[in-house]
Amino acid sequence: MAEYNYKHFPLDGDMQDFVSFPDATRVGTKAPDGVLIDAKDGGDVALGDVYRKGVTVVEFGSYT
Amino acid sequence: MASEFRDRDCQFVFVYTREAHPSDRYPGHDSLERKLDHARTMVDKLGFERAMLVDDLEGVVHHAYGRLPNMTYIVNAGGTIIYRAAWTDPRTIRGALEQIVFERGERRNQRRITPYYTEWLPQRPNDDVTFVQDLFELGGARPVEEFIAAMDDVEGPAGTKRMKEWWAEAQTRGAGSS
Repeated sequence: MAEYNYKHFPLDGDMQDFVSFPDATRVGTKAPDGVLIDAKDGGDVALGDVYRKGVTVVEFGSYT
Repeated sequence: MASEFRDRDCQFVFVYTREAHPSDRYPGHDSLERKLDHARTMVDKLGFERAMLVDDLEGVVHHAYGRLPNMTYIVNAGGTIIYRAAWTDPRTIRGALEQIVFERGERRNQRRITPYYTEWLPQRPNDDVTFVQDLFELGGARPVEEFIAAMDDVEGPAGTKRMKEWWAEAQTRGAGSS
């Protein structure tokens, strides 16, 4: 499997991740927790604390 | 959509992952500092309304949620996943949020509602030529050529014909090479 931070777009287009996605998590189950960095101030943000504030739309992505 | 639904008690966050299409201008992350820099550039260039949250260098959160390049989840206040999609499609997200607002109204009016499971396979607009044009504008020739090569491998020549035709024409107009 290609390294996570690949330098070149992988030839298989990371298709295995698309195949696996239906089983990665499930609706109706708890969303995985984790700590992220707030780009604005560099502080730590726990996803669980974000979710407690209300319905949250979480988009994943990058500039490219 | 974020500002519209923020008034209806929904919050929006963006989780910054690895670079999906690295280039010389925006290389794959070799440090957290570079990742933060790219995330802040995205906020500045696109005029972000949402909170920008950056995953660690190894992508721990990205892995936990499925590791796709542009997926979207909707999570309720109890921390339960109520929507997940392999691609971010504003149409289905809006539909899901309208449903959530409707459910909230029903509960407020003390009408009994109960959850039910559903599966759905919607289709989204996905113009491949527009996609590689945007790739070129952002990162130059390399991400375009790498994407076309990968799609050649995955979809075969028929799937990449339009992109290749555009790229060949762009190069004759001086688009450059890697």
